[in-house]
Amino acid sequence: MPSFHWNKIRRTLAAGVIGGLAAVSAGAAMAEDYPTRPITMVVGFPPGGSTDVVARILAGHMATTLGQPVLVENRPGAGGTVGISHVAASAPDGYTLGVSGVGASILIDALGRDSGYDIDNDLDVIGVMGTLGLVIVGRNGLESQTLPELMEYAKANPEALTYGSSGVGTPGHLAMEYLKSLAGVDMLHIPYKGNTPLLNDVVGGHVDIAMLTTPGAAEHVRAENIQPFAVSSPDRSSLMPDVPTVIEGGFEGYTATLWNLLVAPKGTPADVQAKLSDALNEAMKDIRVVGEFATKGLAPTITSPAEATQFLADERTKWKSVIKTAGVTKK
Amino acid sequence: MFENILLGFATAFTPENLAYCFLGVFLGTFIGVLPGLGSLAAISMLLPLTFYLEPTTALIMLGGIYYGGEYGGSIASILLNLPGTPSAAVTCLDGNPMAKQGRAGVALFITAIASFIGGSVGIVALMGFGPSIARLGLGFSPADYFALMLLGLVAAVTVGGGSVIKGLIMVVLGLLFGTIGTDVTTGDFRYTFDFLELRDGVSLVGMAMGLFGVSEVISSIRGSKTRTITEKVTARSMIPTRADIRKTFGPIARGSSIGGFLGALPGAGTVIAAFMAYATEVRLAKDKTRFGNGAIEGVAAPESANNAAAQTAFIPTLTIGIPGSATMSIMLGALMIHGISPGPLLISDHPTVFWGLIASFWIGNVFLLVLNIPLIGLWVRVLQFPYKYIYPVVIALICIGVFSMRTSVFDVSLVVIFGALGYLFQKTGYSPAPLILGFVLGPMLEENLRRAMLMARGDPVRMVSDPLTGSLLAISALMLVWAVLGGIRNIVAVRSKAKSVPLGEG
Repeated sequence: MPSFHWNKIRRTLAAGVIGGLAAVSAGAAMAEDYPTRPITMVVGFPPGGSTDVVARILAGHMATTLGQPVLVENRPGAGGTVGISHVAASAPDGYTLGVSGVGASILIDALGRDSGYDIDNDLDVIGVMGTLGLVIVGRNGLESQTLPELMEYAKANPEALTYGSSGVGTPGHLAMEYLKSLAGVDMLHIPYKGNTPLLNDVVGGHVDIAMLTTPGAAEHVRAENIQPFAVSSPDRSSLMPDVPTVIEGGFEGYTATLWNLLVAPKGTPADVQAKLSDALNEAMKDIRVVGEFATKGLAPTITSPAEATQFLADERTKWKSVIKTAGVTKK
Repeated sequence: MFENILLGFATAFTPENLAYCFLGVFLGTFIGVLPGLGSLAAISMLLPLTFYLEPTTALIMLGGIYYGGEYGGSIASILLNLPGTPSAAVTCLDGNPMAKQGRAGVALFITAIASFIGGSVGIVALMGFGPSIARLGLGFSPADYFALMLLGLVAAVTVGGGSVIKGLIMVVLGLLFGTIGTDVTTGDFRYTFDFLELRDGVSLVGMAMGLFGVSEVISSIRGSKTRTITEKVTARSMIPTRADIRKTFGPIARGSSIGGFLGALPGAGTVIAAFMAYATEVRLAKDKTRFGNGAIEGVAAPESANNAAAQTAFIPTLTIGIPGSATMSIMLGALMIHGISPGPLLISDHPTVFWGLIASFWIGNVFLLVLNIPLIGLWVRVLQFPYKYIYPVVIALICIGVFSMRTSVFDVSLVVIFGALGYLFQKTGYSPAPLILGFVLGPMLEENLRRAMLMARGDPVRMVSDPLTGSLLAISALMLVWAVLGGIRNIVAVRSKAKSVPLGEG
């Protein structure tokens, strides 16, 4: 069967053309007066989504520090990889940045699917753009009230409980597989196409439990449409302080969070990276940004490019082992 | 209840909110008219602008764009056979033949009235029964969704008029196109041929624009010499006859109810609503051959349905915080950016947002009516423009519109492919409408069936034994039997006619 490597061809072509242009203009655009024109921040998801909201909050503050507009551009598709592959193929001049989540940075690659880029070789990591916790919720009417009870029930009745996820290989799916392997239980996975139909079926009582983002679940928990069992972050969530962590439920070492990385095309000058990193960390310290993060269940993070790269490596080790244990690798 | 409605109107009637409501429906109509540019693209582009507005005002404007676009989508469908939005593809079927018969004005007039009534029915449902309808929607399990989608598919075989076999072929082709993308149950890529862009499937807008828009342009270029310039537009030619009005009562009532119900179900949406309303009218008609040849019911039913669905789509979105479509997710995003958490408690926590928005819907629908009845004369004059000016503009707009959906050049090339395919279909007498429906329903059908089977632990009897699922499936089976019997009766009738005609003429 003939295989098309359109993305690779296109990327090579684009890199060639842009590389040539960059070589010509390199003398003109020195890093010290960077930035001299608006910066584009590419988000691989549609506007209004959680990644987009994070990007817009931070871009707004970074623009004031950098003295140039930071424009959020939505290039949605294929779990965020369409946007990031665009960034990977852009000129490494600091004017095209990307917001890369867990899926686009690790999971898609770790699941053995071609994302159209290699994050280590095609992108530089500038910093972590905050983390977001997940919460294990159950439909109303489940007998178990706490996470240990729930896991005990699951252990005694293999595959009796169904759990929904927003898709195969999404963080919600893998985080649940991670818990399954830690607790030694078996539950039936019901994949959905995105968060919305999943939420609908948990609230409607068609699926037993699910791992949702804390801001996505908070209002439904408050209205008692669903019951919370535990949050996946290392600490309790600002949105639901009464809900214990999975660790408190007796599963030592369990954490699963969503995050975004600010990335730039590989070869972005070090001083440009430093300026971007400073602007990002500056935003993370801003009182208004911190406040907005708290209302959205996000935890701010302050990282240097090196720390962020290490963070990516650690997360990759963890998720790769989860994927291996759960046996969800494709091909 | 009445205090709430009063509160809503008090909120919506501030000069600022009225102005943004008008701006929203005006922009929406305009964007809807332009082929390819849908309300989703428009709302995505305008969302950042609303960060500087009050949340209620922002939603009023975005909402206006949404239902205004649903209305505007029908205008180009009727005049030029170019659906402005995918759901308006149904309106092409009878709207454009009406225009070719010199009844464009009447078609547009009926569209305006049907849209207004459909929209109003949707708003009443939203006001009066919002939360209970939302609860009903929540009760639909994957098995119920599967049964409902199957019913839609069975009903659709008749859409497009003419040969049932040709209709079936196109539905199946649509289902096949729907399999392209990521398999939801296993996460595998199907028929993506290593194209990153195909992992999310074929773009619906690209497909609709290619099959309807581009193919129409190609065939018009070939046949441009034979085209007659439409006669002068008089006020009289726009007013429907009494017979027209009488014929549309039933279709508008049925279309509004079907649209209102389907719109409230998350995921079903305006496209399915329009198709189902049309299919219902074809089923109920005594003389089915009128459909596809300028039947006024074929315009009134889908237009009232898609506008009712556009309004009731807000029911799950606002009352339980579960958005039914991509556009609705963006609307919720607009709320979140303003620090309002959408969810089941929105109505009690932020009554002014909820009731103000709903009141603005009705004001917006009145605006649409007042704005568009006088504009009909203007729109009809578009037909008097030489095609050589219209079509380059149309092609450019389609490209811009499709590109803007996902900023993807790939999708623009898909439009070219579907354009060529659409032209081929037109030449060979296959209607692309059932293909679009198959394409929309197929993935939902498959996804829900597989999910339902997973939940039933692989036992089909357990799945079917649910009362709702079972009865929906039974209705589908009955409709199939009815269709087959009707088909046999038709064949017999045609044969006996064929026997008698030569004798009479002989």
